[in-house]
Amino acid sequence: MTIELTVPSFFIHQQMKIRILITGLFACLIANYAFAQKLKHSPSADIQSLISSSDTFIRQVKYDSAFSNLTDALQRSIKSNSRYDMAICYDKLADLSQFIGKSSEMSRFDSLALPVVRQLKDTSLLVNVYNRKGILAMERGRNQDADNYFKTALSLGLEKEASKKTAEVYSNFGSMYLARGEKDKALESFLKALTLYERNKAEQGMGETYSNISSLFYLLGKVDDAIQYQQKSIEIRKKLDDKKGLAITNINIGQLYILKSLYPLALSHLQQALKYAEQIKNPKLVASAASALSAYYSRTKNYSEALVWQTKGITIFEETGEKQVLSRLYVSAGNLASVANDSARSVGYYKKGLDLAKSLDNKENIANAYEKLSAFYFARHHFEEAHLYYKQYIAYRDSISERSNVAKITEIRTQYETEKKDGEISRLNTLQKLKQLQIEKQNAVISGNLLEAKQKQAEIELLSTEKQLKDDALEKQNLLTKNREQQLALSEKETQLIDNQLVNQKIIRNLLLAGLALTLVTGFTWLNRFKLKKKIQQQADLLAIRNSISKNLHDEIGSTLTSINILSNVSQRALASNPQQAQEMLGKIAGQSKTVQEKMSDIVWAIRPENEKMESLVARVREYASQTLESQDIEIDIVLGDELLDKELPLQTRKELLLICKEAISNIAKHAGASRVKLSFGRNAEGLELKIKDNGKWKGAGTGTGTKSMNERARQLGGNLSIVPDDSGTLVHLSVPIT
Amino acid sequence: MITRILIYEDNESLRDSVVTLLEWDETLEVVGAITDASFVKKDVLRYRPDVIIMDIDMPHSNGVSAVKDLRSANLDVPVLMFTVFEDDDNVFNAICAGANGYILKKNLESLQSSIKDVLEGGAPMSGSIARKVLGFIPKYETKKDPNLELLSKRENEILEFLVKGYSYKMLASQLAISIETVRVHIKNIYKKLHVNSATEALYKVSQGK
Repeated sequence: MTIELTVPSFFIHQQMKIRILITGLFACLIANYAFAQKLKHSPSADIQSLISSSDTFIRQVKYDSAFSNLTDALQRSIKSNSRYDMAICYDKLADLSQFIGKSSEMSRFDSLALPVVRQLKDTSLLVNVYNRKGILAMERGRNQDADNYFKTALSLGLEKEASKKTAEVYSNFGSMYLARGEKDKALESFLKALTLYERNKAEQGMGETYSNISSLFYLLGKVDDAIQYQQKSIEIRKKLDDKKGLAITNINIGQLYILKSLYPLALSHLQQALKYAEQIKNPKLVASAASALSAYYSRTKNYSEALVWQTKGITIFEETGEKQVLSRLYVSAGNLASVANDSARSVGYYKKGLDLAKSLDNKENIANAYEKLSAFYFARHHFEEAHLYYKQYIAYRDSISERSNVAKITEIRTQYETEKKDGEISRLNTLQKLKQLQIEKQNAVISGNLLEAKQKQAEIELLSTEKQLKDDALEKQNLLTKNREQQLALSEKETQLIDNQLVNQKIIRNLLLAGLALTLVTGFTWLNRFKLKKKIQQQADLLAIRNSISKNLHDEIGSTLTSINILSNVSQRALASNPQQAQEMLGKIAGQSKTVQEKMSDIVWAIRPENEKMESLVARVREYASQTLESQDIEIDIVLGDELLDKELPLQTRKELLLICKEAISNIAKHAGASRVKLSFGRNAEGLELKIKDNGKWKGAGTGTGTKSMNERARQLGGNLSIVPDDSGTLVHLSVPIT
Repeated sequence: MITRILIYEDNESLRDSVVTLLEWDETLEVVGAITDASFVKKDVLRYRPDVIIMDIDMPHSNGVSAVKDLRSANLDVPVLMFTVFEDDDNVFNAICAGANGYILKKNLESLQSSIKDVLEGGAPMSGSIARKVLGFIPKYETKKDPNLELLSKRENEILEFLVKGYSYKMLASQLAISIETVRVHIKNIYKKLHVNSATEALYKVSQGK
């Protein structure tokens, strides 16, 4: 804005002169004001329009268009040599770069902006620059630098302004304190930020701060509170459709839900986060979402998936140079590789993580890396290394909390000193008073006032007791402080002791392991020998069974088949000349082949393992008895003694017993003419006892083939058979030794 | 009336002998003697037998699956399984699949009477089959299928005595019932076996031993 001043001519009236002068003065003032306005900075119109259109583009996630608009604006401002415009454009460009996560670009714009802004002495732009610098420093792990930048930003008159900007700086402070582990300072800063945001109704900021406070609670181990604050943050951000914020919050809340093992919730939030992050094309956030997903898959034991996501996250973070996060990610990738038994990769990751954490002097991360390394080596039984790393871990862990211990100690000491001094001062005062009183007493005595003297005396005594009490109190405090100091010293000693114990335990453990290994080796050798013996025994048994089966087949069946063959041949020849004989022979063939079938069936029955028990034998005998004797209406009674119910018989024994029974029964059917038969199985001194009693008449002298074979079978079993006929009938008595 | 018999048996000599044996009886006629039961449904439609004698173990086809085929096509021809051993798992499976009874190859002299028995609906039950039945039909309702038929107390008793080797006569005298009643009980047991095997898989049998 330009002002035109009219020079008053001499020819104008005097009054007019004054009026004109006054107007002129006003005009000057106005001009001054207007000029000052210019200094107050506002961008030119076209620049302003470009900037607002770029803002729109940002909201529509059209970052390239936004960038091109801003660069356009920048060029115009350079052309028109309007420094303020340039500064604004740099500011906006830096902001945009930060928003999309291109930290190097942001840094570039800020360094270009800084000289211009300094020249312009524009505090608000300067604050922006320092704020951004602080954030960058934090990301790169230069916490001290971040501290300085933020303090500068704050000191640039912002404290009094209590604006949104102040809140921003406080919030950044909070994040910085958090990274350094100074949790109480962090909380303080965040709360300040929150209040300022609320006052300025800056919802964006509130959302951000809620998220940050949530992180703080998480670090304090209060997961429920953390979740609560995240949800508050999500609420606000959803209202604002703040995709970037939503991505961050969803990642955080997803991780919190993983902690609480609420896996389906966790997965849905994390997947949402990934979507948001991809929507706004922010690689940092995509990487964060990826590593959070990796954590989820790791927790749900899907380790291959987990490692895939983790490597995705790591690749992105390596590009963007996010060292703080990387140091933790390397360690967790190491864990995953360890589970997948890729030890080499695992160790590689761990070492990377440790080195990075050390370079950042991030005590939490260093401690974490040592802990995981220790666990890794422990699982692989490299106990020495495991112990080494564990010691380191403890050292760091204690240093994080020890710092607070040390602070406490100093605090206590300072308090004590102060109190002591107070005590001293009041003691001195009392002494003084005493002296005074004594003098007064003297005076009183001298002035002859006894009563007064007594009074004074009483006062003196009172003061003395008071003093005594104070002295006692001081003593007590001394003792208490000594006590506390001793306790602290004790805890130090304890830690030392535990260390020693660990070393001892390690030695003992090694010895035990060696002993165990030795025992195992010896035991193993013995076991092998035993197994071998057993195997040989088993094979011998099998061979024995095979032999007995083939013997049975040969004995029982082979000869009969030969006989059948002979009979068939002869009967063929006899058919023409002697049909009677042929018929006889054919009858014999029928009989013998039937016998062979029966015997086959019996041998198969004996071989079957389910027929090992006495019960089976008795069942089969009963079956045969009913088949053979029922047609003759002979009553059958079969008894099995209780003591034999579960007895198991070897193959040969059961076969022979069965055949003996069958032989006896068929004899009774053929010859005895009995009406009743009783078979009883029992135990006697020698072993198994079988009694077959019928009430018929025994025909035959005990020399028939049937009887002969019965005797032979009994002999095979090592027992003895006797056939005793008498008036009441015939008794077949068999006694066989069994185990 | 002449009973039409269809025989499936792969052993040539045995097949010939059985045919000869049956032809001796004038009331029986062998309408077909086939070695392979793969096309049993077609064969039945072609020969229209009154009873089928099915060997259990044939090289190209399995007697048990042939029975299943038949029954799934709703062909109700009574089937007698022809087997060497009665405690063969396959016999039980065949019965569960729908066979009406079995004949032991060593008891061929009673072939005619067995056929007549089966046609009248009275299949025999041996101790080994009884044991398998006990293992197959559950004693009480399992959660698996409430439609499974359970054995009655009497049926259970009969089966247990059969396992011990009791003959029908012995059973009758032991339980104080007539032999006919025993046969009726056994028929019912078979029916329940068929019902249950329609709902349960046959592989259970080998586990239910």
